Amino acid sequence: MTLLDAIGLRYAWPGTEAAAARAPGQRREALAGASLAVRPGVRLALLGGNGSGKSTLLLHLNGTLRPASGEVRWQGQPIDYSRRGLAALRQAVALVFQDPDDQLFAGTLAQDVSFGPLNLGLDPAEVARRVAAALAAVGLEALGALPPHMLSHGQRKRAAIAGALAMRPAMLVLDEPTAGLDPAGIDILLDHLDALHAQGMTVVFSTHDLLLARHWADEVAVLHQGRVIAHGGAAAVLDDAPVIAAAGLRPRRFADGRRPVSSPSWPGVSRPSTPHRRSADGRDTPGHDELAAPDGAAAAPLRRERPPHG
Amino acid sequence: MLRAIESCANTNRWHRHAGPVTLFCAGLMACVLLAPPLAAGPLIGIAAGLAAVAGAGVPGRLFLGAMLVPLGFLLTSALALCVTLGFDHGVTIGLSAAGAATALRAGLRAAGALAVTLCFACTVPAAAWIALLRRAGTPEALLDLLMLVHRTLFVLDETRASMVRALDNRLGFATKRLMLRSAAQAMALLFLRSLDRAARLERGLAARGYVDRLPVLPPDSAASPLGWTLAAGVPMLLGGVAFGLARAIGA
Ligand SMILES: Nc1ncnc2c1ncn2[C@@H]1O[C@H](COP(=O)(O)OP(=O)(O)OP(=O)(O)O)[C@@H](O)[C@H]1O
Ligand SMILES: [Mg+2]
Repeated sequence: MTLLDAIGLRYAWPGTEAAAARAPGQRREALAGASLAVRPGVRLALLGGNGSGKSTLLLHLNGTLRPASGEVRWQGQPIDYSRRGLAALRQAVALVFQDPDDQLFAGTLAQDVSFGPLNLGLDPAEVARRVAAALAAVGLEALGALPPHMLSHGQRKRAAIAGALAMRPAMLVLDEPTAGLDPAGIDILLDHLDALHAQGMTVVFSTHDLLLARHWADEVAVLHQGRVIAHGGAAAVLDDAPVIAAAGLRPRRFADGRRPVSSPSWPGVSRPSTPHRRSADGRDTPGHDELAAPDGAAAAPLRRERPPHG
Repeated sequence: MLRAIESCANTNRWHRHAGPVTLFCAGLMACVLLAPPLAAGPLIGIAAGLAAVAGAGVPGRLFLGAMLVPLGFLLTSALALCVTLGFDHGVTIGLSAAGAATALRAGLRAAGALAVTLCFACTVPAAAWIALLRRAGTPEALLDLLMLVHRTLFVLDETRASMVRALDNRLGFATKRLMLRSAAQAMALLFLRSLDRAARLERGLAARGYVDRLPVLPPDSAASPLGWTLAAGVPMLLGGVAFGLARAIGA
């Protein structure tokens, strides 16, 4: 039983036909037959290079974009693209955009977060409670009275996420939720998502962070040129070398942790002559070798036990 | 300037007292418009400035700086009022005493009104005055529009600023000729960008369940009975003083 099914989606952004004709490198379709099945309660990471169609696919999941062909099914039923159908779907599937400025509109953060819950028809007292909880969930409780344009990008991103959290959806769709967040912010967000996931919420998110995908997601889907080329358990997909290489997700640099950083020198930039730092066991520091994780020792889990007061 | 005023409005000491502050500013505005301008203009102007700077903690430089540009316009138009043009014997230009008196009155009144407006702009956050308008029964569609325009204004201003910075960083403003070209490019780009922004915001709101309304919770307020009393009393007092002063100087 799946919660949501995207089947053979094709979509071309308006105006891209002309661009594709002129620029040979440009694909005509952002989605060229993408299929994705989302099981209930899963944490699904969507990986793929820039322009592979992640954002476009996510916009289809709550009916914000309508595919040219193919269909999206919610709980087995094709999406009803009428006004009421979409309103109902969006109560269940909340979407956080890649660029927070695409969705922040109100005078203050708290007001912006209140928009979704008020659309659900909740009474103001309950909305106020949800707003406070959602802002706290992203660590913004102190900034609720400020307008979005007085905040940094990462703070806006958090506010946008709070806007979706406040709707308490059955499925949360996040477009690069951790991009632009500081490590502490990622911790706070993941803690909260963990709590929601424990209550049964489904989380679909796109990311370029392979560590996050490996250690936090249950499943990984890989998008390449508008198609899902692999989908399965996180470790299985990420260890599938041909898939990862095809999608351009295997970093050449820093990947095995043993190769020193060497690059052609840029004109006018001289490299410091100090040798690359090595730690006692002969590994480069900082180690990024968790990515490859061939030997168990290096694959430190991303999530560790936090002290009780944390 | 726009952004400085906006951030001041959201952080000044009175930002959670939007109701009383609005009443206060409305009272001052009534004084400026009703009392004789020779007395009321300067008196209310100074009162508004003091209220903003000493009361709400608006930076003095910001307040004066924001006054400067419109005051410049005021001065030039007031000067124009002082001059008479005659067409009886060819074209003659002369100073007119009546014109000067009118100019002085109009100028002082406008300057006072300007200070009051600025006091309001620097102390009441947009979210708060939109909420007040909502409570006063303004049509929802209009308020939604106001909110979007307000937000879009700042998104576009940010886009403009970052675009100019980006061009500047790649030496787009290094010479006069480049400067013209870059400015023209930035303007054309800003136009396209604003269309794109509008489309994106529409998608963003649609994804969050926008149908035809943009409901938001009113911002929380800390208005107290004392605040309301002061907001009503002080302008009345000042109005009385202005009338008394006007009689004393015979205006
Ligand atoms: N608003 C738009 N108008 C026209 N074409 C677009 C638009 N947004 C995306 N595209 C095109 O659609 C394709 C897929 O873009 P999409 O934003 O889905 O990629 P992505 O995987 O999210 O990339 P990134 O990692 O950079 O966020 C790209 O080729 C892009 O050129
Ligand atoms: Mg994207």
